[in-house]
This record gives sequence, structure tokens and C-alpha cells, in this order.
Amino acid sequence: MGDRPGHGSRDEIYYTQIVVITAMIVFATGFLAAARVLVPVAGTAAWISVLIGGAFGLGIAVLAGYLAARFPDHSLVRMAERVFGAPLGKLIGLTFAAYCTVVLGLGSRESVLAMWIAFLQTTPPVLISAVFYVLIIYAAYLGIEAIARVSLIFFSLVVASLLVLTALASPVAVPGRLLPIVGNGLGPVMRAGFLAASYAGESIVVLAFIRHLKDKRGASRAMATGVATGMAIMAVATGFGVMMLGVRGISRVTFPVLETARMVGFGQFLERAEILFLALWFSAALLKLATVFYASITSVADVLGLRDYRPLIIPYALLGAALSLIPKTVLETFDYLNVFVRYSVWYTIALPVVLVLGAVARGLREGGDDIRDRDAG
Amino acid sequence: MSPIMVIVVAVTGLASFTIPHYPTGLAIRLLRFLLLFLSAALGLFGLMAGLMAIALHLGALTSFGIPYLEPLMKPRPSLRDAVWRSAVFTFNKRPEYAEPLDQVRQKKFIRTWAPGVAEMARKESREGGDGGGEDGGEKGSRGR
Amino acid sequence: MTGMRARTQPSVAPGGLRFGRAVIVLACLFAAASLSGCRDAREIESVGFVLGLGIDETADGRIEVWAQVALPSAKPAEEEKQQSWTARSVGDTVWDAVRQLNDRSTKVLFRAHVRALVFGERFARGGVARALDVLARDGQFRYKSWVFVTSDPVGDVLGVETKQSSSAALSLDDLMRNTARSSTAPRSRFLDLLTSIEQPGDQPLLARVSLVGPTEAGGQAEGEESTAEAGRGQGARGPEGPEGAKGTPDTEPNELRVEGSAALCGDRMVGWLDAEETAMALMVCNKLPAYSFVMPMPGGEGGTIGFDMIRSHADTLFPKGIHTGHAAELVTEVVIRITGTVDIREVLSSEQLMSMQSLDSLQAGISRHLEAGVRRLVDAAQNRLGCDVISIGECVRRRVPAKAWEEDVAPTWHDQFRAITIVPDVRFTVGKRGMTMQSPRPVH
Repeated sequence: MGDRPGHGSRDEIYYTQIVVITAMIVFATGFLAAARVLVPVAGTAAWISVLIGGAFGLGIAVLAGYLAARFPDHSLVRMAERVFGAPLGKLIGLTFAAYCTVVLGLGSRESVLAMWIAFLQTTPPVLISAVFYVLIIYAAYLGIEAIARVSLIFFSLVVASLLVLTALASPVAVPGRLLPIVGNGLGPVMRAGFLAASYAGESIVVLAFIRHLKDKRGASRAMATGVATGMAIMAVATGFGVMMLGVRGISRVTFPVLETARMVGFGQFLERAEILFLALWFSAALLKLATVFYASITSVADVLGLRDYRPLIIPYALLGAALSLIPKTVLETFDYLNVFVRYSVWYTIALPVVLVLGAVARGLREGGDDIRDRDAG
Repeated sequence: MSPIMVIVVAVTGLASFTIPHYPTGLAIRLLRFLLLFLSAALGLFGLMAGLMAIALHLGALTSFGIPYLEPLMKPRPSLRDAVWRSAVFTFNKRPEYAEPLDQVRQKKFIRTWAPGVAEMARKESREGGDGGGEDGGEKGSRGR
Repeated sequence: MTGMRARTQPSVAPGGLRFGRAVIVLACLFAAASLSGCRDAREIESVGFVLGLGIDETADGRIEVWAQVALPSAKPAEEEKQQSWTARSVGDTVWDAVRQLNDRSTKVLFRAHVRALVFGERFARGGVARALDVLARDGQFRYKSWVFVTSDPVGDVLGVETKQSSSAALSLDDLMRNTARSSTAPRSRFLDLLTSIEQPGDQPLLARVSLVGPTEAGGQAEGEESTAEAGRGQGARGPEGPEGAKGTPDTEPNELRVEGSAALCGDRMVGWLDAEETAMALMVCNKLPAYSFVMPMPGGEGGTIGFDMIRSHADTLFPKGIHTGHAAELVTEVVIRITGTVDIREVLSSEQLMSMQSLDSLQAGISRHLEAGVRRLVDAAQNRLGCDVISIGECVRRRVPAKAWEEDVAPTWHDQFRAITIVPDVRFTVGKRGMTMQSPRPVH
């Protein structure tokens, strides 16, 4: 941190930027295919299950904010080390880095897939992945501040595009397709809500850099607002998909939200307008993945005890690119996705809960004995 | 080099003359070739990637220690200078993110050649007491 | 500290190394460009915009596909009459035929601007699902395209040289968009077809297009010109229209008319609905924007009266409830309550409707007339067609739990539907009567 407040290099993130980053992490790669995961379970009530998942996510956000306020200048790995001691803390930090890596690989795979199927059909997906990762490398090189600032600008564009899409596609949306409201029954809705919580739970990635937020007391509120915004966007996208395609139709298509975008054409001459939307959503996905990438390499750097994370950027990007190319077909990708949403929510709940319980049990607070006397700058 | 590409290059060249700030125009003129190349290679995806790279670069820039994109980061009065351009005679204070030594840039009513404005200035000075018309006269200066 | 400074500026390497790095980056960009194949880029002059697609079946079971491709030209529109060309190919499946079309075309066919998709009757009766897979899977084809069924040869429909626009597909697109107030054809899009096929309670109705000549032709009783304005529900016609309008030998059919509809059960066409039946079906489903009709003046005075129905609302009520479960009979009685307002557009009778009683009897007469129309439609749907084109099943689906619908009701809905008693309850009121209260007539 700068010694003179407001001058020199700051690495400061504002409240609004945390809100926007959290929202983007929640919805940017998930909302394209979320309906496909949730509608077979919950039926017409998939949008309700997204809101239920959002409620889970709010709980996670509150816990995360509590941790951020309790350990103001610690990244997640440092928090774990302080609470549980060095070896166990580093192990927990490694699991966090692993989780972030999985999110990175799967998220980039989904985005590359959307681009490849809908738009760049003859381009090898390796190339699309390579472009993605070159930009992610550049973003990680520049640091979290640059990512946060650009996220704020692109988020408003993405939300505006979704509003335009909803408005333009509403003549063909049939609200009656959302009935019966409870869908397949309360049990399946709760189960789907649990699956949807995995999208909201990805917000724990923010813990890796929340220490850069200036006023830690707003951390809980910022993350909760971000989760709520992101899940609201996903609920609207899912509900609209059901209104347009019906329950059976959604299970049939690859990317339901993309089908909604394909219904839009401006005037009679500008067809294929879904490319514009896809380009904006690609930028949102890119920023989300850049954030997740940053979180994972700073965590790995903390675990390894490095002063600067920059030497890790290129090797880690190669690892991420390799992971994103593991599923070879669309079917495999959705298999991986189904497994991920079923199990990841446990981890995203367990991690903050374990840390909070540990911290409370040990009665630790910042300002006590420091394990390491440096900030991870 | 297809006909469409020639048209695009020509139109963007003409459009770049409308940029009011000359150095920015130069920079954009250089960058448009990079964007042209990327869109030829990868279509709209390439264009977006190029724009994202430029945006990230701007996000990391600082100008005299203040981040380059700082005016856009919060909904503040200085948006009227960053997002659109209000009339210059309304810019009475310096932006707070620049942390100036003196917040006051100009008096509240400076177009005194216009009769309506002169009237308002006189009314303000009658109500405001001495040294009338200055926006936040005493509380303006902020030493650092 | 170096780490902190590096955060706000990309790290500064010594000059030579930086230059070398830039060269490497540029070389990678060039390599990337060649990987993506920009040498194969298609320019806009070589793209053939397909405006209309037609699919039919030949007598020996093979699939015929027509594509109407736009030919933009630099000449003004008055000089060039036909600005499109229609290609035809035959294959074993739709994809096979489309593939052969590509071989025949000098331009690369681009399907994102397909405005009209026309199915031939033989193909529709055989099942349109054969075409749906290719079109749904295609990334270029838009779900917004209008879908039609025709009993005339598809090639003639697409190849007609209309005076109103430069190609038949554009003419069809304009007919569907601009004559939305003309209610005698459903505004059927490809998306509606896809979603309706997947729900047994909501069978699709596809608009019917036919060729007509400039004068009265064929068996379809027509009035004035042969544009779509003429087909405004002028009385009831026989249910199965005759074979298009190519009857009279001295008039070439050169206009298209969109009127009536084809009813599908699942994906197979089961019959035609004429203009009035289609209008009633759309009214029951709340998809009717407006409807014009003429009826005999009720009461003893004789003459006719013409209306414009501007507003209607239909509710499907289940007075005896819906029972789910294997043993119980699911739905026995349905009441369709329709309310709405009509405007008087033409009075050709000595009854001038200047008293409240005459208005009341007129409203009762309108309601009776429309009720009779709905009853005819229900009879057609239940007996002649045997499929639920009035979306009763969809109303049931919205009221029962999803599991009950999927397991108990949906599998047997087609049989259930035929056995339901459907009672129409129509109540219409008269709204405006125009700028004159009485007809201008000579004083005898």
C-alpha cells in the first residue's frame, strides 16, 4: 500500500468495483448454459431455483465479508495460515487455488465453446482459446486494478445489452410457458437451487483480493450486492429462455440464451445480431476469467512464498489453456459442467465456514502476532 | 484487400478527423490498423479482443499518479466532463480525484457580457454579501 | 519497491529486448491470422442471400428443396422486374437436397435472411419433422422466419412474379408483417412451430398461402383484387379448399394470398381450416388482433351488417375441474368464454339500429353468430381434424403440476380432447359505429 494516502501506486479497489466484479464472476460464464442445467431438474421454476441459489450465495458472501473485515490486509491464503498454522493453511490455500483453476478451465471452455459453435465455426478452438489466454495474461500482468476498472465499464454495457435483448425479444416470449409456477414440485426446485448455488458460490474467488478494498466494513455488503445482481441477471436470462423455448425446447438447444439473442434483428437488414451480444458477453467472460486467474496465481504465489506473482503468469496460463482443451466435444463439456455444479457448492460453503469457525475458535484478530512480517503487495 | 476493407479504412480515416483532441486522434489512427487486422483475422471476436486489450491498457495507465480512467469510476459531477461535454462556464470546481490544492477554478457567473447572467451575478452578490458570486468562496481553498 | 511500480506500468525491459519481444508478438499474430484462414474470407459480393426456402416431396418420396436467392443489382428497381432467382434440387433428405443446391449456386448460400419457409402439402402431410432438424441445427437459419403451407406447387409459389415486390419471399414477408390486422391467417413463425410440436396440448397452425390470379379464379369466392386485403372472412367456405386458384386458363396467377391455415397433429398435417375457422381458432387462443366479418342483420328487417372486431379476450374455464390420476376422467367439460367489442362498419339494411332494443338484439345476434362459428371450429377440431388446435391442453398444462401433466395427461391427450364437451360462451358488445349514425339514402 502507498505510504502517502492517495499518491503512488495504490492497488485500491472501490466498493462499486467489488460489486461489479462479484456480479461478473457469478453470471459471466454461467448464464449462457445455466438454463440447460437447471430446467431438466426444476422445470418451469428454474428461475426460482436461481433465486434460491442466490440466497445461498448471500450467506456465503456474508461470511466472506466477515472474514475480510476480521483480517483486513490478508489474502485468503494468509488468513488460512493465520488461523490454522503454516502447513494446514498452505494446504487450504492450495485447495483454493485448485478450485480457482477448475473454475478458470471450465469457464474458458464454455466461453470458447459458445464462440466456436455460434460464430467462428471453421476456426480451430485452440486459436480462440489462445486469444482468450493472451488477453488474460495481459490483464494479470497489469494487475487487479486495471481489471477492476475495465470491469466497471464493461459491466454497464453488458447489462444494457441484456435489457435491449429482453425488450426486443419480448414480442415472441409467451409468459404462459412459465406456468405452473412451482414447476416439477418444491423438492426438485430446492435441488435445482442447490445446483444454482454453485454459480453464486464462485464469488469466494473475491476473497483472494478483497484486502485491496479500501473500507473493509463494506466488504460484506459489496459482495452480497454483487451476488444478488449476478443471480438476478441469471434468473432473468433463465426465465426468458423458458418463456421463449418452453421446457422441452430448452433441453434440446445448446445455449438457450443464445437462441433468445438469435430472435433479435434490427430492422430488416441487420440480421445475426446475436454476434454483437456474444461479443459483449465474451468480454464479460474474459474479465471474469482474468479475475479468477489473478486470484489463483496470487494464491499460488502466497502458498509458495513468492514476493511477486508475475513469473507464474505464463506457465499458469498454459496450464489453464491446457485444462480448457481437455473436454473434446460439447457433450463432454456439459458432462464436466454437471459434475462441477453438483460438487463445487460444498466447497464454496465449506471454505468460508471453516475459516470463520477457526478464527472465532482461536479468537484471532488482525494486529496480533504476525506469522510473516510483510504484506503480499 | 477487398473493396469493403478499403471503404472501412477510408471511412475510419475520415472519422478520425472528428476527434477533438489531436494526440488522442493520432493514437487512435495508429490503433485502428491493429483493430483492422484483428477483425480481418477473427471477425467481431477479434475486434472485441483488440478493444479489450486497449481498454486494459487504459485501465493500467496513470497520469501524474492519478489513474487514467478515474473520472469514470464513480458517479460524480466530473462525469459531465468525461462522458459528455457540458458548457465550460459550468466547470466551477476542479475534480476531486485530482486532489488539487485549490478546488475553485472559476467564479460562478463569468459570462457577465450576457445581460441575464450579469443580473444573476448582481443578485447573488446582493444576497451573498462580500466578494459575491464565488462558488464556495471561503470553503473553496483546501490546503494540503 | 519494484513490484509495486510494476503494477501500474508494464515492466520496462531494456530497449533491445523489448523490440525483440514486440517482433515475436507480431509474428505470433501473423501466425494466428493464417491459422484462422483469413485467406478464405468471403466478401459480400460473393454471398448469396437466400430469401425464401421451399420444401416439398416428390411422388416417389424424395425431397425437393427450392431456394430463392436475392440478386442485388445496381439498376433501379423499375427497370429490373425480377431481382431474384429460384433454384431447385432433389435429394433423399432435406440436407442432401440443400447440399446439392450449394453446388448449383455461383454464390455461397447464406441462410440468415430467409424470410419465408414454404412447405408443400404432400411434405406437410408426411411430417415436417424431417425438415426441422436441419433448420434447428443450422446456426445461420433464423427462428423468426415465417412458415407457410401451400397446396399449390411450391416452385410456382416461390417463382411468382408479383407486381408488389421484387420476389415472392419478400412479398410473403410483407404480407405477414404489414397485414397483421388481417386475421385470417396465423402469424406462424418457425419458433412457434418448434415449440408447438413439442407440446401435445398446443398443436401448431401454419398459415396457408395460395396463388391467385388478377381476377376471380378457382373455387375460392373472391371479390375485388387478388391481394391479401380481399380475404377478409367473407362468409364461411367449405372446409377443404379446392386445389388453389389455377382454374381459369386465361389468367396467370401472379399474386399471393395468405388466408386460412393448415392444422398439424404432432408434425403431420391433418387438414385445412378455412378463413373463418382459422379466425375462430385464433380468437380462442387469444392470438387474434382483429377480424372483419359480415352477417345478416338479426331481426326481421333483412339486409346485412359488416363489423370490425377490434378487441377480444378468451378464457378457458373448467367448471368441473381437472382431475389427474389414472382412474379418473381428466377433463370432461370446458367452457370457452369470449368477450369483446365490435365496431359497425357497414349497414345495408332498413334497420338502422337507432333504438336500445335493436342494439341489444344486435349484440345478441353477433354473439350467436360468433358462437356458431366457434362451434363449427370445435366440431372441425374434434371430429374432422382430431387434434387440439385450440390449446385446451396448454391451459390444462398450466393448471396441473408438471409431473401430472407429463405422466397422466399428455400421453392420452389426443383421445381425451376428442371426448371433451366444449361449450362456447360468447358475449360481444357494439362499440363505435363510425362517423354517421344512419345510412345516407335517397328520399323516395
